[in-house]
Amino acid sequence: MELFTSLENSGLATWVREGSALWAFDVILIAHALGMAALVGLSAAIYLRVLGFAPSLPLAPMEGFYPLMWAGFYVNLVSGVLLFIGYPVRAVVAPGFYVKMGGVALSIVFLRRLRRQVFGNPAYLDTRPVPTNGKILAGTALFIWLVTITAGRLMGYSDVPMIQPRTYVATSIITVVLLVGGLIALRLWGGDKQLRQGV
Amino acid sequence: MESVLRYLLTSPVITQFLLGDAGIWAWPTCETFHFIGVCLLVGIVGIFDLRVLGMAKGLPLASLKRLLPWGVFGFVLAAITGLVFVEGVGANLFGDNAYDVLMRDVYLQLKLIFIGLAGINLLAFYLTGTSRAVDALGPGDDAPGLAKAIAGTSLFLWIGVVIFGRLIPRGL
Repeated sequence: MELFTSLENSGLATWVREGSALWAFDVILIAHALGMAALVGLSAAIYLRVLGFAPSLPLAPMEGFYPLMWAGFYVNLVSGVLLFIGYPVRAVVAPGFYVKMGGVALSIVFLRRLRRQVFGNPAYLDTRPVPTNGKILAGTALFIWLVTITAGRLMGYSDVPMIQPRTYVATSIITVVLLVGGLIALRLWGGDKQLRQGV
Repeated sequence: MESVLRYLLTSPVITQFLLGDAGIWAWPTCETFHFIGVCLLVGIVGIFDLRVLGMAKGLPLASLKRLLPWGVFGFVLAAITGLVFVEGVGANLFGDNAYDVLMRDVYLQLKLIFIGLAGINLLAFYLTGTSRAVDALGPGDDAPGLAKAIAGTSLFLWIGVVIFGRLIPRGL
């Protein structure tokens, strides 16, 4: 902990928090948000296709977005390290920090697996529904992103412990409601046969 | 005009809700779904725009369009939670009024203007026939210049929306 306290008092940490050059802290936060949108957003699009949405869309060319996803990851690695240097003491005592780090690590494992299992396998790549194994992979990966984003957002509240568990519960309940609502809507109004077959 | 806006922009129900027991989780939960919405919106719309601009050309655009409802879903998530932030701002900044915040916060203004411009850009996409022109593009086809201009504008505007959104607390 002494290590983290001295890190927090370092010149770089002070610059992250208080630097006035177009507000260092804001620039880092903006980079972190844009990196998230690239990494999570692009991978979500691929996972949704693997799950069976837009079944007429060929999967193979989507591999072309991997470099952009990795760019988003590295932007967030750098901005994330800077954010950590700014508030290291607050981060290491927050349970959510470890949830977020675990979530990011798992997500990267899943993205690499997706590349090997789906993009590296010709049987997965035509426009027919992807085999169930691939769908389980995609569904789990989307769920991990959901947990990771929740934990990430809660980093801003790491000094108020009560907020954490209640926000996880609220987020889970709303997600279940949206999922069930979406499935019912799909059954009732899913006139889109191609979509239903895909799902 | 001002009184109408003041009335429309402040919801005592939402403010009271956020000030009550639910306030502990409601605000960060809305923020979480705001971020999820942003990821879906920027990711899905971004993939579409990038394909029109020439990336991953193997994707036929008529099929890629079928992913767009997820981008719309992301927008709806972000819009609903964003409305909660505006209507309930008095709960977070004690006693502040959303009308005053809207008049004062240059980043919130810029963000809303950019969202409006993105709407006009989308309208242009459909009204100029670009949407239909783009539907005909199969694997490997290059998009016409106008379609590329609209896609580039869309990417620029949505990235701007994210940047100004992150700056809103600076302008409060």
